[in-house]
Amino acid sequence: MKIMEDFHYWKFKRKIAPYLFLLPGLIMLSLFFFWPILNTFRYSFCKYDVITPPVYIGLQNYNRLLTDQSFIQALQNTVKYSLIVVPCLIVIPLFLALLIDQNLKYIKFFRVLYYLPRIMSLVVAGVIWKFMFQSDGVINSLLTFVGFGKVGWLSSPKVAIFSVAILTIWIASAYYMIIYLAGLQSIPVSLIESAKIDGASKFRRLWHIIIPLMKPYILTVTLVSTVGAMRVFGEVYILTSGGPGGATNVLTYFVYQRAFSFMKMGYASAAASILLGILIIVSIIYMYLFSKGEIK
Amino acid sequence: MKFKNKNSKLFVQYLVLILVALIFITPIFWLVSNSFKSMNERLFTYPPRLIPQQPTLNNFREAIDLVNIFRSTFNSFVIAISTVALNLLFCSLTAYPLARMNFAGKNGILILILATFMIPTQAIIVPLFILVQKMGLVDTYAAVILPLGITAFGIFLLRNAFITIPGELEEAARIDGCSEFGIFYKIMLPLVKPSLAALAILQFVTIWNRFLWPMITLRNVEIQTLQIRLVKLARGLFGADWRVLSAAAFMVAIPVIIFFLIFQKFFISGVTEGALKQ
Repeated sequence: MKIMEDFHYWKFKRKIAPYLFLLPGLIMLSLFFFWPILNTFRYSFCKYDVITPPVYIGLQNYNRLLTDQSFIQALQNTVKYSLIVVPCLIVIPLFLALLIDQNLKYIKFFRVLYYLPRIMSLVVAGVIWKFMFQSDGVINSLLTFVGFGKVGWLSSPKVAIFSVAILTIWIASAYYMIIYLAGLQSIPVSLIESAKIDGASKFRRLWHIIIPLMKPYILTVTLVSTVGAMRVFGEVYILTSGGPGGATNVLTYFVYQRAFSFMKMGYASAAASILLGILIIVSIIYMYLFSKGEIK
Repeated sequence: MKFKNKNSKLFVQYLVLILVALIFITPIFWLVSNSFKSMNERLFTYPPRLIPQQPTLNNFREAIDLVNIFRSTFNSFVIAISTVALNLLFCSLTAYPLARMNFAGKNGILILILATFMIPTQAIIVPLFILVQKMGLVDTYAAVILPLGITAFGIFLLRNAFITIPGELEEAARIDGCSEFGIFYKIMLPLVKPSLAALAILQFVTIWNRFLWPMITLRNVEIQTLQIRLVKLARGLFGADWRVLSAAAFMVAIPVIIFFLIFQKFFISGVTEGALKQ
């Protein structure tokens, strides 16, 4: 009898053990992650200034957002910025990965060099580029040197968003390069070699063999960099503060300002809910492709 | 003839590698150069000058004061170390059953955790701040440490490590009467030490470099991290000179660069291990 009792106890323990292991982590995630997601939506229907308790006001925040020029501009800028950054981050890191995948002496040294911008904080990188982007800064100085005119990198409303994008690309390329590198190294060498023997040119090998095999990695980079572009904040905060004239104001910066400069928590939450909605759609696509094994 | 061709091909290969490297490192050199330039030297010269004419350390002296370097380095250090410790604890506990046990709801939990990859702090920052404020944590280290104490990246990195351990070890221990927690703590955890180390190293730098969340929750100057101090300097709150700002940025960057050079292999392989291989 004792043995049977032990057996049941043991079986019970094995059954609840996984949940006991998961408990602390799930509490942390619920408290600091899932609960705030729900609250973002909840506060978006309220007027909330932190000092007095939230008051339910229905869809008023959303109605106001739709007529708020500065919100529309932030939404447009986020899309514009994504359209600049995402294609660049799909192509440039692939090129970099091909470079550092070569079988050459000292190649590891170059990998380290290419990764350096990524390791420094956004703040440091922001300081470096803010200085270079000044109207008498080194970039304009070089441009005049080779005979071009000065560019208002941070002062021209048309150019500023590109400057923000350049900073992002400079920092983030190395990250996607490493993802691509993992992909390139998973391609069997024999495949490339046999194509070489068949006389396929370098470009044809890239286009017909490497790129099709890299499809899952390209999809991964596309999705991850899209999410990255939607959440851009630091580059804007440090380089331009959303200026000039709101030309680089993005969704996250809009949320930040409404919440922490103007203390409009409800209104900020409504804007954040729209950002969350976009991110959730992208995540669902990501998870769908992930479950089908289309991405790594 | 053949030999000559091969050499010129090599030359081109290295030339491209070096030119691309210049794009990545020239801006860093430019920062270092400016941080050593004296106040007598003009910064906005035409053409630009990379080597300082009269190198000086004065900018660093001023930057040390402005950034309150000793205090803020200490703050950054406390926050980074504690966050790493929490991540090792919570991520390994969470990753272990997801890798080695079968139970109802496992896939649902995996998908939920995967979703956290995609939702950044920026999108939930308002309620997160309100929560931390209600918990009375504003202006404490815990305000930064707790919300960052578990990450999907860490969970997936460790899950991949736990999955690769052969099952026999576990069965043998179970037959010997080892408890489930005992198996985890005494057998499994030591076997994934390399991944724990990788997680610690990668997380340390990530946390060290973060600024948005710490900036929002740490308002008291005495408790602010290096990045917060630097970002305030960069936004011109103290009207600092570019030379001093460069010196400050260089000082903030240098420990991380050294840390990276020591542990670089973790960075170049680690990115893929956590997020990508399922």
